[in-house]
Amino acid sequence: MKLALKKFDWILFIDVLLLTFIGLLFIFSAQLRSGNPMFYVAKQSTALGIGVALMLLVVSVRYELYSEYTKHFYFFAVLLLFAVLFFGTRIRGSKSWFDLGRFAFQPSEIAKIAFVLYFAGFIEKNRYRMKKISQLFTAFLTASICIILILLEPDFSSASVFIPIFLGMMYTGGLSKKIINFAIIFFVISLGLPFLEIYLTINNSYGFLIENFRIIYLCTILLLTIFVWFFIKFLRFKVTFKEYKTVILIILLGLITSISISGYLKDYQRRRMIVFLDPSLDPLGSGYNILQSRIAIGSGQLTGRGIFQGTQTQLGFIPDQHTDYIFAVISEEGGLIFSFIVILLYAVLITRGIIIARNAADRFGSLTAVGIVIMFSYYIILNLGMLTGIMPVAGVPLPFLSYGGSSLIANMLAVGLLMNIHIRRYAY
Amino acid sequence: MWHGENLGYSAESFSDRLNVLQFGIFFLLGIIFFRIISLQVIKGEKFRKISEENRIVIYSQPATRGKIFDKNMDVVVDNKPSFVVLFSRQTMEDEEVKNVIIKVARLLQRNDQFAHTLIEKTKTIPGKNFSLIKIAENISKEQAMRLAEKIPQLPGVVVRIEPVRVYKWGTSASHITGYVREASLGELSENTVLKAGDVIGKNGIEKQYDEILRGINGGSQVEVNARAVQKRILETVEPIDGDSIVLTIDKKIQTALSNHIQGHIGVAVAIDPNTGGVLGLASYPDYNPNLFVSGLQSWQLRYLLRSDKKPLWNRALQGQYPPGSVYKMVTAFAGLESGVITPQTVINCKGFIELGKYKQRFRCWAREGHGDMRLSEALAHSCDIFFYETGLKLGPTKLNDWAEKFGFGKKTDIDLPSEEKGLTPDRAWKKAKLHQDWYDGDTVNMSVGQGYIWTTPIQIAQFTSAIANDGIIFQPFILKKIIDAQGNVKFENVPKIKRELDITAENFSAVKKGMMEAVRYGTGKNAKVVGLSVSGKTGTAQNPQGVDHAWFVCFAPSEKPKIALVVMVEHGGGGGDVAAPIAGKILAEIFEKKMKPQMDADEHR
Repeated sequence: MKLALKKFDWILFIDVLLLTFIGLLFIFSAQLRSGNPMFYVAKQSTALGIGVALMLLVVSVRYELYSEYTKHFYFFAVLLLFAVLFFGTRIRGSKSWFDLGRFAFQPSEIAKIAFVLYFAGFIEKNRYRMKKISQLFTAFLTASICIILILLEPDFSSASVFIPIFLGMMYTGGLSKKIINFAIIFFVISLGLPFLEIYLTINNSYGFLIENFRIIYLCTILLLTIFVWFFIKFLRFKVTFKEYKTVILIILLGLITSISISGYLKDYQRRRMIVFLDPSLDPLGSGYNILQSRIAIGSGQLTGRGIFQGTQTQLGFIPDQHTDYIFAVISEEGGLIFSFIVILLYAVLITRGIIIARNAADRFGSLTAVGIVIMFSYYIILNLGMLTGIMPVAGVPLPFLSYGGSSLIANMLAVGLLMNIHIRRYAY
Repeated sequence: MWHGENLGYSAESFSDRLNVLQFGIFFLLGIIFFRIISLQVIKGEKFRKISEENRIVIYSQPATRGKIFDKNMDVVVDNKPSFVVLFSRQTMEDEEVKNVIIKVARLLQRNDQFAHTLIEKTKTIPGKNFSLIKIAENISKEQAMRLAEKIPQLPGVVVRIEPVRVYKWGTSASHITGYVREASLGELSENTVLKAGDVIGKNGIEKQYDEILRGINGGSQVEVNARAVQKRILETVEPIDGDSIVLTIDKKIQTALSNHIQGHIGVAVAIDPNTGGVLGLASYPDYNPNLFVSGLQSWQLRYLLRSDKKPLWNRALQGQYPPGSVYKMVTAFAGLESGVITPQTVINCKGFIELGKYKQRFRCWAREGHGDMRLSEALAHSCDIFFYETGLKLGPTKLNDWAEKFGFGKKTDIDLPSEEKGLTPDRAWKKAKLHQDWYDGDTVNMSVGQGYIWTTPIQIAQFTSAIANDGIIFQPFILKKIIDAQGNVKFENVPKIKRELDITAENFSAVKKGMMEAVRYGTGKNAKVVGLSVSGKTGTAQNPQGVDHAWFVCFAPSEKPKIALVVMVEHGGGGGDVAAPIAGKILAEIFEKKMKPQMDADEHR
């Protein structure tokens, strides 16, 4: 324990505490108009206490021990995700909470960490088989269990975090570059085309193209296939690109997925995409949140409007201002100074995480650290990107700042894991 | 250390790939940071302004519109307090707006059509969504109470008391007062002083003197939160009420005019020949301006806007008709003053004259002819041949000069909106418009007020009053004075003389004698009133649209005229049969005399 304290990552710890305190201050400010801000602050502080305690608990056990039980953790998390579908409470349309009286608890928060641990263990075990497609497939299957269960709740934004964690850990875990290229092609096609379709719809410059989008689509695919096949078969065209068959297959798969995505997009999701592309199209409806938070951030200017003085915040123009939109409150009342401090603190958090991953004693530790870093980064980038209007609207919280007990506790647990890896970096 | 090793078969190490990952993350974080700088520093000023606009809402407090009085200070148009329902959509989605509006419509017991139009209206408000629009007014106290109870369930709805217009004289003075309506989008964009929901005058005095009556709206700058709940009042400006207007109209005369013109499609205008002030003006069909306040049913609106009878049309100013024999006085004055005839000139009427080499016949209305006629007899019997001959001697140019001297072919510039100017044709006009030469036949037609000539009843009234007062052409006016809310006079109108005609007294007396005789024994005897000397002239204007227009112009008492009256019935028939009795009844009512028992008119021109 003495050793542990000596090697304790104070920078990381203080960094995280500072973020949480800034969060508490602005949660207080954001809830001023509700008349009972202390209620929220007290709850969040309690969560912080529990989080720090759990963090110390996590730190006190050698993490090598965890590596032996990753499967159990993962199984337990999946079980919780199953249970929440049956016994959970529905809050805001998604059944993702266990109501435990004083505290509500979100199993998907725990699942993320369990998934990181399990996946780190999986890659560690199969590190010499990373090139095999079958391995990739198994990994993908295990990851999709969580994703599908969370999508069933349905909680789209919580489910989405698994994809970058999966991809990032596979990448750093040694996935062959070829497969990564294929994945990039696939995602660009399958996600880019629906966006393109909506973009064309709102700009409405090519009426014909939009009306017959799907038909043109299918025709293009068919023509391309015939054309390529013709080239290869009859002209004995020499293909220097070795993997052309796979590439074509991937492109086709991407096209088919994109059709099904644009076909099955829910109305509100389509609206969000439209709003992302041009929020002023719908300033009162879906674009309202984005516009108002952008106004709040902008009106903060350099020094801010002063704490508790932000009109956008105090008069309630910012939606969900103590949770997903807390950064709008911070930058309205604190100005660029506070925005900069927050981003700096996040940069320190990410840098520490990456340093810990680099210096970890073994592959398992490194990969766990990478998973956690990606999880934090994903949330930070998506949330801030959404508020500043450069990314689509997704309801993700800002780590350590947003109000939310289970999220804070889970984040503290993750920090505990990072610390643990840090302390035991010279174990061998 | 393990992380330096190659990963699987790849040539890269874990460290290499971690670098790529780190670069990616910081690259994105960097973009976000620059974006924040751009929002907060570069565009900060703009967003600060928007956030101010966000929280400050201006709730206008309407100024009370000025009243309208007649010359004896009898109230023509008043205001009364009324419950109005206002609505601001705030941040509501279309669906929520729809729900609220439908609830309000149910509480007010209106149909869904009503709700639908309101929903459309909420979509068209320019500018901010916190601005209040009026969705119902003149609701009963019970309805207001019922709504007020439900306010917590009706976000954005406000019930308050506002003054609304009451047209005390109702339909009788509709074409004088006009009416008020909420400004349309087009009017809002034309006049920047107006705000959505402001009421403006349409037609009549309400339109002509809108700016005087309107006053200046006050209001409060209120800080609101995102739900539009008022937080505190930043600044309040009291409204400045509009000034009131006193008209030259006399209630007794106006009532008489509108009572007797009713049922005919036509006009009755009375002018004070000593000032040019309009004593009364009635155009029928009329409309009830109060309906525009209480809300029109769709069939009512359709009738008002689409009906062939054009009830919104002020025929006294907007209607253009051939004047018929009424115009003979113009020919008479022209002839007398240019010396082609004298009061003693005798012209023989054998029932027709023949013109040109084809001997085209122009007939008198009396087929058998009137025999020898002097001017006054010709006017009394409305002999056409006398004026044909006079007109031919004069020629069209001189005839036209005199028409213009009497104010024809030009607007009278009365202070009421949408006046037409009529037409006095001449050679140049006919050449330009019809590409034809001017024939003697045209001169003959024009000398009895037929052909291409168009006049408005108000021009005829101006002309009649100029005969009555021996040659002074006053500009007709309707505004007597402007008084403020305390009753202080802010502006007093004075009669405006357009010009004084240089006509000798004996010529005047010759024409006036003819007019007097017309009523005594001639074509206008149906206008006879016991104990009142009336001078008048009938007119029966042929027109290609159908039955003749019936005219009767007169002034009374003949010796010292107090009133000049014009009655015109569109497609009414003979002037002596139709218009003269109406004028007689009007005069009898005004001067509280009796009509002579009705006799069959032996002549009608």
